[in-house]
Amino acid sequence: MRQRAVCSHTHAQIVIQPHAMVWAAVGLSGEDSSLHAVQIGRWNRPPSVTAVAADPIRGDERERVFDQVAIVLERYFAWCVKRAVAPQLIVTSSSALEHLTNIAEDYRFFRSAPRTAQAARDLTYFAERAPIRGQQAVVSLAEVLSTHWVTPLPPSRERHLGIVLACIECPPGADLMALVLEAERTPMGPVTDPAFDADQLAPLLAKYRRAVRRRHVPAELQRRAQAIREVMTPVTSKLYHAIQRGVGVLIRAHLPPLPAVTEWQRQEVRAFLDTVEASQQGVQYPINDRAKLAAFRLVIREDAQANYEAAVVTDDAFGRARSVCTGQTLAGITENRRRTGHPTRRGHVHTFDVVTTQDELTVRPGDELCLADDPRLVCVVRDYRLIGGQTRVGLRVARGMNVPGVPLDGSEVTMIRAVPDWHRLGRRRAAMAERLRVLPWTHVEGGAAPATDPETPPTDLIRALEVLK
Amino acid sequence: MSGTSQWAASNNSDGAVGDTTPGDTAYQRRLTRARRALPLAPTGARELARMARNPGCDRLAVHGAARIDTAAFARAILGVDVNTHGSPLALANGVAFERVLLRDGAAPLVDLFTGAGWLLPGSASFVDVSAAHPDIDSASLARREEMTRAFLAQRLRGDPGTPNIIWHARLTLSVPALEGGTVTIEPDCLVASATSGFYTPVEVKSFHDRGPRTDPLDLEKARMQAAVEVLALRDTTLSLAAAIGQRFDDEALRQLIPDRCGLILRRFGMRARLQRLNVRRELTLMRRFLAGLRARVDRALTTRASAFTIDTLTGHESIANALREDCRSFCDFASSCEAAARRAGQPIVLGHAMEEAVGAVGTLPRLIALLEGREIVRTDDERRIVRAFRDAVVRTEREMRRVG
Repeated sequence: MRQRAVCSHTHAQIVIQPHAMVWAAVGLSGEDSSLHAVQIGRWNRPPSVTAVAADPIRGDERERVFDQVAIVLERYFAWCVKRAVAPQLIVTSSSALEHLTNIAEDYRFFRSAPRTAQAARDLTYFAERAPIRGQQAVVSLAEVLSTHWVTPLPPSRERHLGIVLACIECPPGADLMALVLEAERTPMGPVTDPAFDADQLAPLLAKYRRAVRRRHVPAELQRRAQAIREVMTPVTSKLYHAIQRGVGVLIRAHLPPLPAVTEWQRQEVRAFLDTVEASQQGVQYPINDRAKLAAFRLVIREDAQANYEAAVVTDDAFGRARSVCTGQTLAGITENRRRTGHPTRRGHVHTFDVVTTQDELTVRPGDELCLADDPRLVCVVRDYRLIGGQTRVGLRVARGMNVPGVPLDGSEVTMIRAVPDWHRLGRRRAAMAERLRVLPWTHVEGGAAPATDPETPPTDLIRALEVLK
Repeated sequence: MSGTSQWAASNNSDGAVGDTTPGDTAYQRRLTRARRALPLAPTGARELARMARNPGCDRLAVHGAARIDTAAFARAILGVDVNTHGSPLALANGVAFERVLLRDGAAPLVDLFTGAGWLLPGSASFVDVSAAHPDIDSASLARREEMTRAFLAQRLRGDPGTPNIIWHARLTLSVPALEGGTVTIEPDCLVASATSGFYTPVEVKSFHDRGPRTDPLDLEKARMQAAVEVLALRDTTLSLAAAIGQRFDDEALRQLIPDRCGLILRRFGMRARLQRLNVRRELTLMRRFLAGLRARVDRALTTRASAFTIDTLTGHESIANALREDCRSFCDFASSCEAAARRAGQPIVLGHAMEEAVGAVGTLPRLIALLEGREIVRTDDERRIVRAFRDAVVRTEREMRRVG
C-alpha cells in the first residue's frame, strides 16, 4: 500500500502571490483573541516582524505588539493599493484563521487602544473574505493542501499543517505513521502546547506578573519579559517555517491554476479596493450585520459557492471525475438523436438520449444540464428509464442546437449542471435590492403579520413561492 | 420501594436511567474483579458525558463502569502520552472567571440572573456550599452533600427562606451500572428561578461566547454535562421527596425540574452571558446510554474467563471497541485504538465517510486484493463497491487523458 498523500486535483484553486504575507501567531491559552507572539513576513523570506508580549493581557504590552502588526499591515495595504493588487495572508490552518477572526472581532472597536484597533481593522478584511469560497485573500494552508492532496488519514487529522506536510513529503519506504506522530508533537494551531504552558510559560508568566504587581525596577521587568520572549519566539518560528515549507510544496507541485482563479483574483482586487475606499470614508464592518446586509452577504457566499463548485467540475479533471462518480454529472453515450416539428410554433425540437452505466445518478425531469466541453449546448431532462444495468436519460435541447450543435449518435458526452456564472451575482443583487426595498414585517421592529385569508390559499403555490425569490 | 428505585422503575417505561436493582452484588463483584488493583477514579458529570459520546464502545463502557482513571491507564499500560490537565493558563482563566462572578457576594452572578428574568430583583439570596466546607476530604464533601440535600428538602417543603442560588451544590445520581452504584455530581450552581419555584442546574464555562461561531464541540460537551446534572437533581429530589412523604410521578417530576438548564459563557473580557438551554435531546441520549450500560458491561465481562482482568494490555484489547473519527476529541484510548485499527487495515482509519463507503468489504487490504483480482467477490455489496472503484478509475483516467 502506498504510504503517502496523492495529488487529487489537476488544477490549483489558489495562486500564491509573490507578495503574500505569512502570519504565524499564537495567543494565550484560554484567551482566544489574545496575541502573545507573532511573526510576519513575506513568503520565501525571513520574518520582518517578530513581536512577543510579555503578558498579552496587559494593555500596554498588547498595544506594543499590535502596533508592530499595524505598521506591517498598513505598509502592505498601501503597497497593494499603489499597485492595484489584492493582499494575501497565509496562515497555518482554519484554527489560526479563527484566531485571526477573533482578534478582528474583539478589538476593531477598541477605542482605548488605537493601534490595537487599527491592526484589528486591517485583519478584519481577511476575516471577512475568508468565508467566501474561491477567495484568494487568506490561504489556510492545511486546508488548501488537504484539498489538493488526499492523505491516508481521516479528515479530522488533516487540520494539522505538520501532519499534512508529513503525508505529502513522506519519502518512499519511510514509516508514514512515525512521521505523522512526530509531526503531531509540534502544535500548529494558535495556542501553545499545554505541557509547554505548564513547564515553561506559566512559571515565567507568573514571575513576570509578580514583578509587575510588586513594582520591580524596569531592568528586572525587562529581564523577565526577555525570558518569556526567548521561550515564545521558537514557537512562532516553527509555525513560520512550516508555512514556508507548505507554500514551497504547493508551488513545487506546478499545478496550473483553474481558469476561474483569474476571475477570483479580479474579484479580490475589487473587494480590497472597495474596502480601502470604504475605510477611508470611515465605514467599518459591523460586529453583527443588520438583516438587509446579512441577506446580501448570504447571497454573495451562496453565489461564490455555486461558482466554485461549477469551476471545479468544469475545469478540473479529478473534480469532474468525482462529480460523475457521485452522480451529479451525467456521462454516457448519445443515442436516438431526433429532430421533430415544434407542436405550437415554428422551428424544431431537438432531442437525444444519453445512455449511462452510472449507479448513483441524481437527475430529475426538468433539470438543466450543459455540455461540459462546450457549455453553449444546454439541455433539459425530459425523462429517464432504467433498462438492465443502464440508465437512459432523455434530453431536449434548449439552446445551442445550431452552434455547437447536437452531438452525433455514439458520441461520449459529459453533461454538467452549471458553469461558473460571474454575472449572476449582479443580477441577484439587483433583484434583492428591489425585493428588500421595503423590509418584510418579520424584520421590522413591531411589525405585524399581514392579514391573510386562510380559506383562500394561492391557486398556484409554486408561482407564489417563485415570486418571493 | 425507595425513591431512587421507584424513579428508576418509572423511567424504565420510557427508556430511562435505572436498569438494575442496586443490590446486584454479583455484577459489582465482576466489575471489582476485572478492575483488580487499578485505583478508582472519581466519576462525575464530565466522565459520564464522555462515556456517552461513544455509546457503542464496550471498551470505554467497561473502563467507565469500573471507574478506572483512563488517562493514568493510557500512560501506564498503553504507553500513550495523555495530557488530562489541560493548560494551567486556561484553567487559571476559568478560575478567574468564576471569581469575577462571585465578587462582592456574587453580585455579578445575581445581576446576571436578575437581568435575564430568572430571579426577582432584590430578593435573591446566595449560598456557596464549597466555601462553607472548603476542605476536599470525604467528610467535608459529605457535609456539602448534606447541606445541599437540606436546601433541596426545604425548597420541596415550600420554605421561603431557602437560597435562590446554591453554588457548587453536591447531588447524587444512582447509576447501578457503575462500580459503587452512585455518582456524585457537582453542578456549578443551582438556581431557583422566579417562575418555576424549584432549582435548575446552571453550568459555568469560561470559553468565549461567539454566537454562531462558538465551538460546537464545547457546547455539546456542556449540554451533555448539563443533562447529567438534570438527571442528578431529579434523582436527589425524588429520594428527598420520598423521605419527607411527598410523591412525584414521572410527569410531576418533569414539571418540577424541566428538561432545561442554564449556561453561563464568557464574553469579551470577563463579562458573562446567560443562556437558557433545552437539553431534552441530551437527556434522552444520556438516559438511553445509562439504561443500556449495565447490560453492555455485563455482556463484555461474562463472555470472558473468570480470571479475566482489564489491568493488562491483552485484557484491555480483548474488549471490543467502536473507533470513530472523533474519538480523539474525548477518549484517552483513541490513539492506541487507532494504531490497532491501522494495523488491522480497518477503513475507519481513513475517516467516517470511507468506512461507510467500503465498510462492507471488511478491511482495506481485502479491498485492494479485490480490486487487483487476487480475491474473489463474495457478496452483492462487495460487487457494488468493487464496480464503483473500477468505474472511478476508468472515469478518472478518461478525464486525465482529456486534459492531457
